[in-house]
Amino acid sequence: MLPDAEAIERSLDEPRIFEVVFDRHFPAIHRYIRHCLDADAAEDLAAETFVRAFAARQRYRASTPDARAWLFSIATNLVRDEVRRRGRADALGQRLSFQRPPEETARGLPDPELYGALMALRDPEREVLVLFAWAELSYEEIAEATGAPVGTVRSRLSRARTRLSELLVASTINPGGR
Amino acid sequence: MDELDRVRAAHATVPSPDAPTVDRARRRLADAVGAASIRAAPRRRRQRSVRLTAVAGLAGVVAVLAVALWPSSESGPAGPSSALAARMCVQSGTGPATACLDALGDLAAADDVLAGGKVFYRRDLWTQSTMYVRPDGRPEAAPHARGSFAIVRAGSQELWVAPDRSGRVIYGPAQRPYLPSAADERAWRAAGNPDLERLAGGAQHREDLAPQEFTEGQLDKVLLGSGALDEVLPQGDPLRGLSTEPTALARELRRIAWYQRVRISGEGPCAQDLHDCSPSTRRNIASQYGGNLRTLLRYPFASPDLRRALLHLLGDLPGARRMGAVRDPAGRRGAAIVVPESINDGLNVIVFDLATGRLLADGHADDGTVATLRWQDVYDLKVGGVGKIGERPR
Repeated sequence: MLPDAEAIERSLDEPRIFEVVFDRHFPAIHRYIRHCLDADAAEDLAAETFVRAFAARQRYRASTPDARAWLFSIATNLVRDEVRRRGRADALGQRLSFQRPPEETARGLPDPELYGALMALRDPEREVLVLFAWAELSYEEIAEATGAPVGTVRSRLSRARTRLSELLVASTINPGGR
Repeated sequence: MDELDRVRAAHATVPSPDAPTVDRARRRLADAVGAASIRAAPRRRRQRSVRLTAVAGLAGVVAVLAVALWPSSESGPAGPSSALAARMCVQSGTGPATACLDALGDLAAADDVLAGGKVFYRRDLWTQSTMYVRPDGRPEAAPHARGSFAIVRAGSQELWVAPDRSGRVIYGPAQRPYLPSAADERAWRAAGNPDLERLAGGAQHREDLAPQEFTEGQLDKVLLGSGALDEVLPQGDPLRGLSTEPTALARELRRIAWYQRVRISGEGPCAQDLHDCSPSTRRNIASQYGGNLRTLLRYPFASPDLRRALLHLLGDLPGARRMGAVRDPAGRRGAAIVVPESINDGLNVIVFDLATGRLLADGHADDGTVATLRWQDVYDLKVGGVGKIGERPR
C-alpha cells in the first residue's frame, strides 16, 4: 500500500494520487463528523476536509507516514467552525457538539446516558476522548490533531475517563438527574 | 463494559457513508484537483463518440446516451470509454470478465503508446524481496501466519526498445518498503505501526543488476522468451501474421501454444486438435495459450487493435472473472481480473487501468477477493514513445 505521506508528496506532481488518501480515510472522517452533526453537514464537512487537505498538501510533513491525525485536525476545526456558524453556543459546547436532527433526537440515541455524560465533560477533555475512542488516534496523533502537548493529551484523557465514569455511575443511581 | 467501551460502542452505531455520499465527495475533490489532471484528453473522447455514433445506428445512439448519462463514480479520466469500463468492471460487482475486458479493450485500442516517438520506454517496479514479520518484529517463515504481515522491497526497472529490438534496461535503486495488501496493513497497524525500513533491513546490493545493452533483435528474446514464444513467432517481425480478429487470433495462438508444448518442450506426440493428447498436455497447452495472451499484452509493439483482441480472449479464459476496483501500490485505480494462476507464474490477479486498458500490476488473492489481494509487480509507472534510447517521456 502506498503510505499516505508518499501519496501526498507524489500528488504535488500527480494530483490524482491524492485520491489514495481520500479512499483510505473518507469513511472514518465521515463517521466521525456524522457522530457530531446531522447527515447533510457531515457529508459537506467530510468532503470539505479532503478539499482543504488537498489544497494544503504542500504543508504536510513527510515525516508523518499516516495522515489520519492531520485529517482529523482539519475535520475537528471544520466541526468547531460549523458549530460557531450556527450560533449554537449551548451546553454542548463550542468545540465539539452532538447536534442531531429532531427526528433522531425523538427516536432517541443508542445510549442517552452516555451522551448526557459526554456533554457534561469539558470541551478539551471531550475532544481528546472522542478522538481517542472514535477516531482511534494515538496520544501522539491526538497531540498533532489538537495542537496540545502529548503529556496534556494523556492527562486530559485520564481526566475525561474518570469524569465520564463518575457521571455514568451517577446517572445509573439517579436516572434522569444530572 | 467500562466507560471507554461505551463510548466506542456508541460510535459503532454510526453507519459508514453510503456509495452516493462517497461519490459526491469524490467528485468534489476531483473538481478541486483540477480538470487538467483528472479528465481524459478531449481528443480521445471526441474520437470515441464519433466512432460509436457513426457505426452503430440506433443501438449505437442508445449506447452513447447510456454512457453519457451514466453517473460515473470514477474521479479518474472521465471520458465515455472510461465510464463504460468503470461500469462494466467495477460498478456491477464481481462476475464474468468478458464485458469488462471488452470495454478495457476499447480503451486500449485508443491508447497509442508510441505516439510522439519511435523508441518505446517504460518504467516498472518488480519485487526484489518479500519478508514476513511477526507482531513482535521477529521474522516469520509462513506467508500467512496469524497476526504476521508481509513487507515488500521493490526495485525499479527502465526499459527502452528501439524498432529493431535493440535497447537498454536500467535497474534503479530499491524503493521504500511497503505493505503489499490491506490485510498486511491491518496486521502492521495492530502491531503498532513498526518502522518498515528497520524491519525490512537495508536494500540489498545486487551485482547482477548492472545496466544491460541489447543489440538488434535481442530484446525479443527477453520480451517474448516466456515459453520460447520468440522462437515460434517470425524473427524480426514477431507479430506478422497475428490477426486482430479475436476468433482468428485465438485459433493462431492455440496452434502456437500446441507447438510450444509439443514440439519445443517435447510433451508430444499429440495432434494439433488435441484429440490424442494426454490430460496433462492439454492442461499445459491451455496454460501456455493463456500465458501467451499475457506475454503479448506486455509486448511493446503490440498494436492497439491487437491488444483489444488479446483482452477479449483473456475474458474468454475459463475462470476469468472481474474482482472489483483496487488501488495498486502506486496509487492507481484499476479493475482487478481473476485469471487462472497457471497462465501467470502463479499469480491469479491482473489489474488493468480503467483509463487506458493497460496492464498495471499483478498479484495473488488466496480466496479470489480484494480482501486477500497481495501485490507482486507494478507496471507502466511511466510509459511512452521517445526519440532515442536513454530519453525519458515528460
